[in-house]
Amino acid sequence: MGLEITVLCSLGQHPGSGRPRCATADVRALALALQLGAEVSAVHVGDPESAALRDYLGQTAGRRSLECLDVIDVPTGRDIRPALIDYLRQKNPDVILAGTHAECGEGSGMLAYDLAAALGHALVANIDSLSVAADGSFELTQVLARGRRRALGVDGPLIATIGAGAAVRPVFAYARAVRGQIRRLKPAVECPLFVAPSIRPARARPKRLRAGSGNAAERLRAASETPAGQGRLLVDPSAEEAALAIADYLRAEGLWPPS
Amino acid sequence: MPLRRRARRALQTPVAGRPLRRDPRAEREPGLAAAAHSAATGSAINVGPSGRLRRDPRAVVRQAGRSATGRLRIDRSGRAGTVSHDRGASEHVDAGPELICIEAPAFWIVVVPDYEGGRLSSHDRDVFGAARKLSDGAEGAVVAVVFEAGEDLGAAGADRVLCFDDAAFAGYAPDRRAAAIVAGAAALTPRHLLFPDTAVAGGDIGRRVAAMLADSPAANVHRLRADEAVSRADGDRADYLRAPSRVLLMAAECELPIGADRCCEARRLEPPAIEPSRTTITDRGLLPTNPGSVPLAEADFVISAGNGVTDWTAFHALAEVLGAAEGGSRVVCDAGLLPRERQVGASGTLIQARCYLAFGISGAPQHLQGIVRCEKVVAINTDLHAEMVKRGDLSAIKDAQAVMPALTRLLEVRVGGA
Ligand SMILES: Cc1cc2nc3c(=O)[nH]c(=O)nc-3n(C[C@H](O)[C@H](O)[C@H](O)COP(=O)(O)OP(=O)(O)OC[C@H]3O[C@@H](n4cnc5c(N)ncnc54)[C@H](O)[C@@H]3O)c2cc1C
Repeated sequence: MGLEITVLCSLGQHPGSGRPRCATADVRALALALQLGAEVSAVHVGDPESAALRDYLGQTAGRRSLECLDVIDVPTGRDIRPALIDYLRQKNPDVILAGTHAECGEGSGMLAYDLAAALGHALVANIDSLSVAADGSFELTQVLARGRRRALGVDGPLIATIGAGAAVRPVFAYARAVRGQIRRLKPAVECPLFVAPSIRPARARPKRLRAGSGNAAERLRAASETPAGQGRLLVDPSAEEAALAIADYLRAEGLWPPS
Repeated sequence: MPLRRRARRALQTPVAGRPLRRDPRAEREPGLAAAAHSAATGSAINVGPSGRLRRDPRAVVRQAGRSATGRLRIDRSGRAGTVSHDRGASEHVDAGPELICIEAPAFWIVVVPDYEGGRLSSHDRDVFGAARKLSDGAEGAVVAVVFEAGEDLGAAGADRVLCFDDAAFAGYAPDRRAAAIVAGAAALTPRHLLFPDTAVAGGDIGRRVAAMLADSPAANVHRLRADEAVSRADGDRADYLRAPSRVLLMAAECELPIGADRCCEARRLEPPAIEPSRTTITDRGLLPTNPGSVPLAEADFVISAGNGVTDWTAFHALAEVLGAAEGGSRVVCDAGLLPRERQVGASGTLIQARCYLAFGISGAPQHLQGIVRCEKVVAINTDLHAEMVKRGDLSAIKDAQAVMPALTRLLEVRVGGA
């Protein structure tokens, strides 16, 4: 089929132990690409010696895994975007997949947007599945809040981001992780230094309390009692009356008639 | 013996002919001024001479109310300053929220709420709260940019509203929305553009706007002041501090929404005429999801059964025609009438549905804890005094077995008649 997909792989860290590992969202993106049966390449910008990069080589989906991971050798503390843009221009894949946020560092989620602006690709955020229609356009489903999914169609080159909650799950195979190749590349362009931000360890944010007001008795009541709905009360209506009232209420909420 | 020496010195009286002893306290003018101020206003907490907060115990007692038995009632919530305990004074007349009008603001702050279906989420309100925090006191004004008509934005804190109500912006059109925001912002040159950092709405559009403006935005900002934006980063392990960028992506609960005592005018601005940009993305609409397969925690509309439900075929039929996710109390899950992952409550799932329909549930505290984040609750119960009925925004005192089939019938008639 000749579909070419490039997956952007970053280093993640375990939320509990802080050990370096592959980033969950990027692994999902890789699994999605492998599942499709496309020609998959993957690229990381950073230190080629990181042991955690081998984790990517071991991920299998649809009985396939990566044979080779390209690593562009850029020291930490530098802007990786010029190197990545140059690499992707050379490679010119049909689809670029990335995780929504990096797990280490600032993780602002801007990378995909900067790449899309630089390469002039369409960008779709937070997808769950990807397929190619008969006319060569892409069909995507996008994950929305509250369990909903949206169907989208895209013509032409595409960058899509995948969240850590996407449904695809790869299987890890140790032998493939050992067997895979890591190919070092030198950046062809200058990567400028980043301005170091001021960083401090995160403190737990206070939970927002329901604002009680008035004296202690009122505040205790507000904290411990059932918050009363400001509702209508129908005492012993007929079943039809009750059903009509509920239907009217649901209509006001936009839930009636159900779609 | 430093203590005793100081005590002796304090006893010394000034001797005639000698210069008066210096009184270091009196020299701290600001402190005295503050003390004088505190005496005048009677506020209990003031700034001391060293800049530390000082609590005046006398003022605390003065301000405290008294209970019927004559005991002091001290309110330590910090809101005491605003409450008058002056018994006998005339009752404060509630004149509704104060309307704030800003004619010629010094600068603009743009807020783009998600405003999904024309409704403000609590996240949207928090972002408005953060914007008001920046604008209040600095003579700024807040402009809301929305893409459909809906709920009043003045109550959330918008001074002006720019509404691009065009079919081209409906559905998933983030490119066009971002272009419209940039075009709308060009006329106002706002100091900041604030977006709720949500996955496919504000966060998506905000990042596009930032890319168009060649800005590197602060994302997941949970504290915003005029000179500082704090983002939670590095996998929630660190805070990144920086001067606020032009585009700011705000976390949920970043600021308190404005109180119900204030309201802004939300005056309509004429949106600039813009040509909808070309886009390669087409929205094919929402996919039908099987409500049974949606995890309860994510469900938007939940219909729930308790011990008062005996007719389970009617319950399942109603859930299906309503397209609602099924839930239940612990009693029915213990009895095996619903699977365990359908249990709502403290030891089950904490749900955040927009609407919760409860049939025959008494409303035990453990159950109510599971639905604190539900917006609207409808209760059907035979017991007028059940806690669930008290919680309900609409409550019907009726047998659930009668109401469930009646609702299903009503729906079938509507669908058949339409
Ligand atoms: C540690 C702990 C954790 C718990 N966690 C949970 C939890 O997570 N979730 C949870 O739900 N419970 C939990 N419980 C149990 C909880 O305390 C209650 O026992 C349970 O919620 C009651 O369920 P119910 O309302 O369905 O039943 P009941 O209390 O029996 O109430 C039945 C209600 O149905 C009404 N009714 C009866 N017949 C009809 C009819 N024909 N039509 C309409 N209404 C009718 C009755 O008036 C009554 O109000 C927990 C308890 C403990 C001790």
